[in-house]
Amino acid sequence: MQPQPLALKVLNIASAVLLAIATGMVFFYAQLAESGPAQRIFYFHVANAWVGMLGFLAAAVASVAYLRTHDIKWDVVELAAIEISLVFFFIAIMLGSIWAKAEWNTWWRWEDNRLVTAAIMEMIYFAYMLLRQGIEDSDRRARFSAVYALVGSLSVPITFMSIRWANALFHPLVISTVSDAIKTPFLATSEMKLTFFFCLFTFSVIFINLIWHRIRLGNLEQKVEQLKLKVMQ
Amino acid sequence: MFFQEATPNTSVYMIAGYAIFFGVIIIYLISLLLRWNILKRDIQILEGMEK
Repeated sequence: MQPQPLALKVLNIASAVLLAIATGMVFFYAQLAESGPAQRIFYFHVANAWVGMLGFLAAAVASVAYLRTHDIKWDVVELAAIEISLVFFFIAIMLGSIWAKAEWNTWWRWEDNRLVTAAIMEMIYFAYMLLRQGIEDSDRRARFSAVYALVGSLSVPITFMSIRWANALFHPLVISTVSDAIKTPFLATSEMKLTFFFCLFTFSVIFINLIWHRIRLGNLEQKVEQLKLKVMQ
Repeated sequence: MFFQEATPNTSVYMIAGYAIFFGVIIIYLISLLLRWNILKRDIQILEGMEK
């Protein structure tokens, strides 16, 4: 297997440095909101949700590419994007729940559309991982997974729009033109805004870095699978 | 003045949130590294069997 290319090594360092700066900005640069220190969770919560959704959409693009070309490399990309997004989105849900406990005095609100749709989306993609485990034949697995990922990607816009369509009562809308949305003090100052967008940028870089590593791992898995078939013959 | 509320101290939740973030990311990175090492070992074994 090829050693890490220079660009990937640079990306590793850039990701670590950006994460350190983003963490520093969250704690030492952005002002403390009126609602208290737990508000600082929000910066990483939104950034995790952002890359989670980005990855699920990237997987849908990869699944279309696979269905058109039947090139297994797109299956590797699709799996990589979904696995990483599952991790990021899981963190986003956990952070959201912790913030809710601090802010609302409850870990979960079933009447909040965003929480429910986000949990359903996470479960849809968790089921994707289980589906893959259950299919032995690699071509069949890739084909079923691509169709599943494509259909599953419908949950992404539904989750994103859930609090916009249903006129959120509880869940804060960070970026919105809806006049009657809950007004949050999250982006009250320019320092808060800068920190917020810097976190989004940082997590996008981390996502690219991780997906690259996961694709390399996927290629290695493919190689092992091919070698196993050869040895068995 | 008497009714002015102080900023609630929710530091514990903030620390818990960031601990979970870094904890999950570190676990995921370790899992990537472990899987990578296992696959490399598998390749060595399979290539040996092929010869």
